[in-house]
Amino acid sequence: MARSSTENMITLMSSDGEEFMVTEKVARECTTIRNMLEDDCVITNIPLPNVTSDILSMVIEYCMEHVAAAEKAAAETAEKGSSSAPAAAKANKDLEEWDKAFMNVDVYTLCDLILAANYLNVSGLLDLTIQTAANLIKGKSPEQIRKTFHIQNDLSLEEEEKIRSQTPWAFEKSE
Amino acid sequence: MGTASGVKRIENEYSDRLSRLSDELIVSVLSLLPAKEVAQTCILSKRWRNLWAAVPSLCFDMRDWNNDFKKFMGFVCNFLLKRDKTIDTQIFHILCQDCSGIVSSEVNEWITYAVEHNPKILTLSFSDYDGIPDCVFTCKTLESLKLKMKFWKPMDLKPSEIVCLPKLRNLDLEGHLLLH
Repeated sequence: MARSSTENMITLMSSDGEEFMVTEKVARECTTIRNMLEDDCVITNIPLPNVTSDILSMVIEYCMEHVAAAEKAAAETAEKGSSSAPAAAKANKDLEEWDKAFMNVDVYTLCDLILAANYLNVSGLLDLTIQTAANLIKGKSPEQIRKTFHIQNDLSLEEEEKIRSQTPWAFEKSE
Repeated sequence: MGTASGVKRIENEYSDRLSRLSDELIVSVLSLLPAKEVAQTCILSKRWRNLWAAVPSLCFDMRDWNNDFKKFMGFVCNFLLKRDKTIDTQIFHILCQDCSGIVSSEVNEWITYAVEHNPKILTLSFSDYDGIPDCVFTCKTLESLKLKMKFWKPMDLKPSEIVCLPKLRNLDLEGHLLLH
């Protein structure tokens, strides 16, 4: 397509020195980068010292998928004059399914993605990752939560007992 | 070389994942959980001791106590008493499916507490309940209000003389109206 060949390309550089070339549109999905581009419109090379290449490639994958979905929806609206509700609902569902599959990662990667989404300010990805983390906690006992997230329990048995006796209302079992 | 990378890998595998997140991000995760589970995170480790108290989004659902109103009431009272009062309650849900044993004056205190902490979204769902406090209807920060009752008496529908909800965008009333 002629349009994409004239589109501005931005190079993002990960903390471990890998370069990723993306369209400006994809880069703008990250509010942090969008703000940089708006402050300095000739910038083409952006170092991201807080994001490793594995995580950056995932963030880019997420942004590309969401940009493509938005473009497809806009094209359909332009073609038909108005968007058809069933088609839009299906597209939304497809994107949700994609997000769900995208979140099939280990806890370590999930936490890295939360940090990257927060640093780059990708609100959709931040919401998705935070919700995934909450789903992993939901319904688990404190011991299971520690195990899932490898939280080191630095409380001594006495300290833990003390907290329980100070907050009995939090640990009351319902019959 | 091989040994060094092996050690590093073990460290990575067993290091504490969630602890690398800021308190703010952990609180965002906790905001999506029911209040009962939020409170229980105080026991996870020293760092988690007080994070629960800063959660701005609270959902108290009596079903989490198998509709045991006494335990439910004890929990909500203590939770609101011990939480950090400088933190707003941006989202506040109370869901009581069985109000037969509920003490109205205490429930009114919870609702008043929420209204005093700049709520944006408020959900009050009761099987039946007399007199939602007037302060709900003059809450300046409220954007979304959902009131759900099994039965409404006509008098419930004119809750106060003055209704002033300048930021309200969504109002959701649900239930059957009793005409006599």
